[in-house]
Amino acid sequence: MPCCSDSRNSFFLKYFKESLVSELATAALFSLKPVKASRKYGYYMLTIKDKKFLRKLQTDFPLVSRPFAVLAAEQGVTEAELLAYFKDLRQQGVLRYIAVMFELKALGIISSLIGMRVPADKLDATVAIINAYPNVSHNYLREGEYNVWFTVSAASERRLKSILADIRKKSGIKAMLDLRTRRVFKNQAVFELK
Amino acid sequence: MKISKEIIFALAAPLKLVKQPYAAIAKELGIDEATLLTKIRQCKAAGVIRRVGVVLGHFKAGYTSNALVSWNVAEADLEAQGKLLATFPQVTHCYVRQTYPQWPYSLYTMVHARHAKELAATIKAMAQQSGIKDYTIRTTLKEFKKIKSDLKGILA
Repeated sequence: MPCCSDSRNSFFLKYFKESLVSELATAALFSLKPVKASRKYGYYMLTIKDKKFLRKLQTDFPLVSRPFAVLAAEQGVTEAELLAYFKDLRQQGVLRYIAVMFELKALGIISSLIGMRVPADKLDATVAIINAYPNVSHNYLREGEYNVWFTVSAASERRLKSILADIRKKSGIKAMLDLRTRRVFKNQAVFELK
Repeated sequence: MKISKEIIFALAAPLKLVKQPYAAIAKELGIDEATLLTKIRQCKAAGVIRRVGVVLGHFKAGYTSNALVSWNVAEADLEAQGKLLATFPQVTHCYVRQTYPQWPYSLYTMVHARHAKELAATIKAMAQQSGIKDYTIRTTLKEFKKIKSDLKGILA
């Protein structure tokens, strides 16, 4: 994970510097406080109020001209205060983004999950080859014999096959599982935020 | 449901944190805001747009223990087992995928938890409730890449 390794120390210094600003900007309603475990993991504790607010917005951000004004009115804060709150969350990495998310299949896009068995000495080079494709959205190192797992999407079967053939050729890795998506029961990176 | 590539690409970028985020996109497209909002609502109703919402960085929101768990499920049981495993709130993704003779795992779940203990307990509960005996846990060790789907790159 990008937030927990080398940059940990600077990350915390940065947080402590910014936390004052953050609290001033959002004190009216929200507050972000680091938890004790944060030194180890680098994550933020959201208050119950934050969680309740954000939980709903994961699936239901207002489709109106001034969404932040609508949400601000609901929370009894100003539009400017709420925008500052979201900017804080984004800066701290709690919020990745607010977006319109398309159903890729409905756009004619096909996708697959690929597992590769990559030896340690070829890991960096292989990851660089894979990550260079805009078609690859997620790529992880996982436990197990097959250790590199990434998702790939393409506008056609031909394109998907050619990307995988290219990755095999460039990396020299033969052990590759092409696990095509057959059916989706759930695709929702939405968190319960208990 | 027809939607132009131009509109798809404009909507594929994250919303700006400004008072009128949709108006900003409409301006880029040279259409009016109301037209764009109507288009988004129609796409959502038609299932072309899955959702409009905030996406959290789950690691920093406290979800630090994650795993891809693959399950060996017979074809006839996929429907029931897929629906069952998808009901777990810790499961964000539940997919049926292609199998091979030497690779029998057909059902894949991404499980997110706040710590290793919660992750193990969740997977155990999933195994118990489903009764699936053969499954593998692939804990996430490192993130090499995570981006919002690059629709321009994919559809180009």
